[in-house]
Amino acid sequence: MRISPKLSILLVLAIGYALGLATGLTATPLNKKETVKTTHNPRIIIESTAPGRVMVHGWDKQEVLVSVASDSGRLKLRIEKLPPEGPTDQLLVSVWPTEPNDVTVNDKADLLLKIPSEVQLEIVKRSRGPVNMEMLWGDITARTVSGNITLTDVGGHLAIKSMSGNIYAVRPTGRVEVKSVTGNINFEWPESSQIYAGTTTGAISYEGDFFPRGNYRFVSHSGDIEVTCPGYATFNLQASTVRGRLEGSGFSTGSPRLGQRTSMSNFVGSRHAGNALVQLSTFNGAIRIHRQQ
Amino acid sequence: MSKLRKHSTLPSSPDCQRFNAMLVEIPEGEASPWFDEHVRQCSSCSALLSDLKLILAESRNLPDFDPPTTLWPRIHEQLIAEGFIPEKTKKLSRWMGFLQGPFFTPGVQGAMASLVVLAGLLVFASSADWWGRGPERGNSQGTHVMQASIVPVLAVMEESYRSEVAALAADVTSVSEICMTTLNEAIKECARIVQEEPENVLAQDHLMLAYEQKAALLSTALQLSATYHAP
Repeated sequence: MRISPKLSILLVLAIGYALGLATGLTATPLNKKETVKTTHNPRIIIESTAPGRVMVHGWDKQEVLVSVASDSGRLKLRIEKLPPEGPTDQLLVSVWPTEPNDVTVNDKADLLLKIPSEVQLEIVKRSRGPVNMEMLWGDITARTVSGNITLTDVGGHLAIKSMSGNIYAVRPTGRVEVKSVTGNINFEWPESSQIYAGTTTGAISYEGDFFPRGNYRFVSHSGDIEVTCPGYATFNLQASTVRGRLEGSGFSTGSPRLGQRTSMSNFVGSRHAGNALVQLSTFNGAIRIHRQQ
Repeated sequence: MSKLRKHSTLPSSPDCQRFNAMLVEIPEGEASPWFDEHVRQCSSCSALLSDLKLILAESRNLPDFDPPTTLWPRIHEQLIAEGFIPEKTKKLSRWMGFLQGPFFTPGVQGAMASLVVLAGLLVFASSADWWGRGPERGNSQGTHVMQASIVPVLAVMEESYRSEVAALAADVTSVSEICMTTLNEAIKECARIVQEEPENVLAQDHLMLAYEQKAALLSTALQLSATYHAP
């Protein structure tokens, strides 16, 4: 039997439409809300393989509210509780492809959570999309690939890593360790006395005061490091760069060598004989220190 | 606690036995008329109740202690082992032990072992004080020896990463590759300065840091490649 070109086109279109309809019928968008009762300071792990936002807010209730929104029918929300009955002490919330090993699924999903403020939180984001955390007072561990991470008003020990995402920490109060390879790292008015920031090509900026006996260490390979502190800030400064430039003023020191380009520039100085230690080092990035008047 | 009195260990009468049975719920809760009446009539039970109330009051002033974070997983494992909890829930504890995860493939586990070795080498390589400028620093020969140890370990990790790369999402792979190139360039740049200026300790420190960052990148990529199998 011969099939005319017109008929064959119609057949292809009809089959395509039928397949599309079938997929549409089976693929239900993922839109869910769930509440889980928890203990006072549970451990919560959030994992998402889907591009999209992850937003986590602390609240004073002993429960977790999970909302996930996605147009995709190829993703699913999994919630696992431990213990299985009663208030949860350990909770896993994850968004995964319905076929867990299917790495080709790249559908977007936004995950929003409200969790107890005293939580111990771990976030693993395996794809792009930002991660925001607010009002949390427990320890936080987060790893992202390329999404920016923003932490606002958080306490506890922060251990944050991103391959290429920028990291913003606004008013953190606990011990902070942040690392990125190509992302920038920004601190705004931290209230923490222990901060480490390391990046390879990203820039590091710090705006705020330093706590007595605090230890602040910022290291970058080719990114610039910029510190802006109030005029009344008191601290001891150790700045070093292999091929970069040191810029700053207003420090009392025996041998300032700021602004010189040498094979290895060092600067050791102090402001108001402070006892916080600020250590800055780059390979070829510039180091700038500004004092606000 | 010195305020506590001694009591006989066994209730002396059926009423005292009944009092004893009710005691568990009474000290902080509502007492029944019979209970109150018995306390009034029996000096021994009355003294016991007073002491219990004293203990409760004192215990409120004791500090709270958080149990170790490993406590619940241990209890949970034991309950599974003794058959009180079905095996099904074990996968969560497995997920919780992300870094020790038994679901890692042998390649990932090998890379993790390499990471441990590398971490040891890097700790040994970097001084306790990053800013230290003592005479022991600036030893380019030492740096070369360290490099000779670190480079093969990193190579093993990179090999594991290459074997696992198929399990990574496209996003992770492309970003990892960009970061890897960035770090390789940083390592090359630092190594060149270390060779040209053997006494430049800061360059040596940055070289070690670049190695450390590459190891951290590889381990993060491998962790992200670990798959969690659905039930």
